[in-house]
Amino acid sequence: MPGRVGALAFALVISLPCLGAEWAAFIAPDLPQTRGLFAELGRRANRELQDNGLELRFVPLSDRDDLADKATIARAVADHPRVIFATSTFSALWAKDATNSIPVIFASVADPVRSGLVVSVGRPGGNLTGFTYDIPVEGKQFELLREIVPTARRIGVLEDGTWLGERITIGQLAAYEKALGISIKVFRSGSVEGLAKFVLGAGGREIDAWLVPISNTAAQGRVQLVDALRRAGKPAVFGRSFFVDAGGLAAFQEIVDTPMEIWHVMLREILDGIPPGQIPVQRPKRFELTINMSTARRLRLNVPETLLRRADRVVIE
Amino acid sequence: MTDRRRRLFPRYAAALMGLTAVVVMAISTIYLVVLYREVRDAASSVQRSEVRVAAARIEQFLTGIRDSLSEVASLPWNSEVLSRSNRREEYHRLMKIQLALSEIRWIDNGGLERLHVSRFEMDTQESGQPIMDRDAVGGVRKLGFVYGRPYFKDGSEPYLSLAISNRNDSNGIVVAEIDLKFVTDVVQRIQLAGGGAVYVAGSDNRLIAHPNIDLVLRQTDLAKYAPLSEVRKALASSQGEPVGMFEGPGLQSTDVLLSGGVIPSAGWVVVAEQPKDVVLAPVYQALIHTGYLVLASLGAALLVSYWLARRLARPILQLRQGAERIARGDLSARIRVKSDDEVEALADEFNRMAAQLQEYTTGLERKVQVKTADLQAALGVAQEAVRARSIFLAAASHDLRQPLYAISILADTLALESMQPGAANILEKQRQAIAVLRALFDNLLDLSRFDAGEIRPVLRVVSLSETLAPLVLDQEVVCHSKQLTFECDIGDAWVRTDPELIRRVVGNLLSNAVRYTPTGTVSLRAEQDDDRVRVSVTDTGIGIDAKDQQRVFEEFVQVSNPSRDRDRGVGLGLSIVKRISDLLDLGLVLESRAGKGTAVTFRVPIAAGVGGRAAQVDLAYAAAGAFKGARIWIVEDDPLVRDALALQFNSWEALPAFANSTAEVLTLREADGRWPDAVILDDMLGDDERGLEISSLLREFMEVHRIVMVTGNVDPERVALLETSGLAVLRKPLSSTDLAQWLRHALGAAARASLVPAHAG
Repeated sequence: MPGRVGALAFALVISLPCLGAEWAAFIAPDLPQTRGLFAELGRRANRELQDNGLELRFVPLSDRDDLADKATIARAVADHPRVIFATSTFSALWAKDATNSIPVIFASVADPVRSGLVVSVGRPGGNLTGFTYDIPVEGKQFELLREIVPTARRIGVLEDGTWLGERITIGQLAAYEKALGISIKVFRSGSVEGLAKFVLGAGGREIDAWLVPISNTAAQGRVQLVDALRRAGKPAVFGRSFFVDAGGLAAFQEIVDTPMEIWHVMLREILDGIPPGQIPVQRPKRFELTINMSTARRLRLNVPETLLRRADRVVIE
Repeated sequence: MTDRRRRLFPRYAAALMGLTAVVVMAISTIYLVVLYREVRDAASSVQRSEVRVAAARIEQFLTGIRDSLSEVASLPWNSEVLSRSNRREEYHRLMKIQLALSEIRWIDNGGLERLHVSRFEMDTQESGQPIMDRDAVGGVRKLGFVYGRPYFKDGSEPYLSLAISNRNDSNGIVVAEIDLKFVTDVVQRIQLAGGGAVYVAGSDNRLIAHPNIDLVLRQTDLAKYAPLSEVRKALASSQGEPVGMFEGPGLQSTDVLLSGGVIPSAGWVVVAEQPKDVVLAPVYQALIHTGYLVLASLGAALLVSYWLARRLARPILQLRQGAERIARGDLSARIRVKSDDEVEALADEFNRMAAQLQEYTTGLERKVQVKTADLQAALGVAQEAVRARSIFLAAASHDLRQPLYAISILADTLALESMQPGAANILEKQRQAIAVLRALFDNLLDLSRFDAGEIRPVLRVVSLSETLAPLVLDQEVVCHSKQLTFECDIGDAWVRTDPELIRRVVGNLLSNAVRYTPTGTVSLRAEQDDDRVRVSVTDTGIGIDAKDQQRVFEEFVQVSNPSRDRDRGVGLGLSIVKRISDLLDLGLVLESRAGKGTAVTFRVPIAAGVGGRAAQVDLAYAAAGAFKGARIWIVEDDPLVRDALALQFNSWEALPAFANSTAEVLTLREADGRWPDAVILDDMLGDDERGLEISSLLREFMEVHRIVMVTGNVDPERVALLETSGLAVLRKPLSSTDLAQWLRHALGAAARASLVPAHAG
């Protein structure tokens, strides 16, 4: 008899999460911009969430401790969310490791195919879909750098060692070097201090110009990084326009106009019963060229008029 | 009250509701059909208009790109003015203007890439890569511009190639890649009511633009989508005008109504679809309203029919209730209906009828009461008369008959004495005269008794010959004296009848026959006829005319005695005969022919299974001393009767003793020390003492059959009392025969009973 009671109690405990309200997990680092996206998604998908009795919950990641974040995601999966939203490639990959049945809607900067999230962008397969920023814009960024600083021959790339890495491959870099007649050196660090140190350090002095692709570390330390570059007096092209607003020289970036609307539509389709594997991964179709003329002047750079005409935005401080 | 309403109400309700339903539904159906057409036409119009707008915008989108490219291509690239870098700058400028352009290539006439400008990739110059063959370039140059077939880059994103040539630039062509996701932007901006969508299908029926970009990225193939085929078919003959409206499953599951138009330059089809239930919502709404309307109408009809039924039924019910009260006899009932219509008129007629009926009935009742009162008065008088006559008769029968019977018994007793032949002859004549007197007297009184219903036949089993024997003897004498031949043949039949009354009938008939037969024969015959004995009295006398034959049975009618000769009777005989015949159901038949004679026959029932015993035998027994020594008490207050009975019993050597009250009976008992063998009790004694009361005392000690009651009373109540007493009853005047017959019976039983002297002293 006690054994039976125990079994019953165990069954109750196991089923407790199931007895609670159904929910959808929004997995992201706890940052103001992710909180903003969370709020926007909740607003846009309000009707679908309500109709399906779903509560959208924010599942915060440390974004520093991979093991802890993996565990957080595993715990979230154990609570049987109906849908998982993952705001990064890695969190999407960990979610994919944790479940092959719960739909995962991701946002990926990396190439979702090469990172192993999906089989193809047209037909993702499996339980994942989402959108990606992945468009090979690095070539354009190197090209831009050369156009603004025609004399630059040695180009340094500041990469976030903990976050990216898959974006620029050695093979591609070689092609760019050849096409543009430059040499490219990659600097990797997991902290903005590390990145700034590269800029201001001995290695940095040998670099004519810098390319700063999008990374979490760089984004969070944008002011610090731009300040380091200014102090070093080196031109830089960024992967995000907000660096230019912060005083960076120029940026070329892909734009996903309404990411939360894309997720909203995908959520609707999944709740309507369409398997995530049949929902194509969306990619950006708009791009933005931003130039900070004040920084250019400060660096005594003569930005070609044609380039200025091509710019979508020119910042004058 | 309610049952009537129940019957009227459903009938009215069914009729009114049926009528209402038919009318409302007919109107509603027409309304709905018209509304459906209007809504459909309006929706179709809106859809076609949206299709036109969308097609125009997409056309504009394509034309804009083409014109821009054309413009750039038409710059004087061959001249020394514009460098290769100028061409790149120009291409970039173009891409900035035309957002959908993702790549622009300059391809020389040999099909090799000379310049590749990309929106997001690194530009390349003079790559020399073969892009297309020379013929294709030539084809483009010939045509000016060529759209390629939409294709899906990386298996998902729709693109369109546009190749364009430049008249001024003989060296090569420009090929641009157009990102068709921007067409989706165009259709996304078109808002259709109720979640409708405008989408674009390419010439190969692939979806190239849809507000839901996923459908496009999935490369949705519409080749087998029937509504699109219909649209294409209709468009083939619409001269570029949008067509609508078609029905089918939507791209996103719900049923839709759709219209389509064509983008001529690209051969694409623009489709506007809207969920059917949204478009037809006003019709469905109207349908629901119609349903409510029908229900409301039916409800109203129900109420109206209920009100009508109530209104109509109430006066009818009042009418019915009134009629029922009248039918039950309540003629004062009046029907109160105030409906101001035919029913009220009908009620008034009813009331008038009831009033007349009441008046008539009241008059009739009054008349009946008056007549009834008259009749009751008359009845009272008649009953009084009858009672008076009964009182008279009772008195007469007692007071007048007593001496007569004393004379009769004395004469009979005297006849037993031996005397001189002359005296005996006189005595015989005296007895005859007494008999006639007795008969006349009896007739007169009996006639009255018959009429008063006081005479009741006392049926007994008797020998017919014994019963008629005294008459036969009498008539033989009379006939002999009139020198008539008297024939008698009555056999030895036993009949069940009242012997007294039968004797009266035959006696009357014979005396009439003798009286009216001057010469010839008078005969009395009895012969068995089935279960009856047919008795006939015939004569060869003067007969009766046929016209008088009924009258002879009336009182005091003597057809052949107009001079009322008393010797020829007083005319009561046949009246009595007729009454007795009716009383005993004798079936009297009179046949007569004037001058030839008369025959009267009647029939008496035969008594079944009766052995031979007769009064003559009883008398013979008596004469032979059968009653010798028998102790007989006679309770009688009339001395004459006592003397006559004493003589009779003495002659039979019996031992009579007399008493006239209970006290004397007890004295006799005291003297004798035991009860007698038989007791003869006169019912009417002096001092208000009744024989029946004494019999109660005697019955305590004697067997019932040893006691006989004698009465001359004609009071019906008293007679009935005696007859139900259980005692034998003899009627005055007593004949020796009756007395002997009873005594023999009583003593015979006594002889047997004496073996067991249960009640002896």
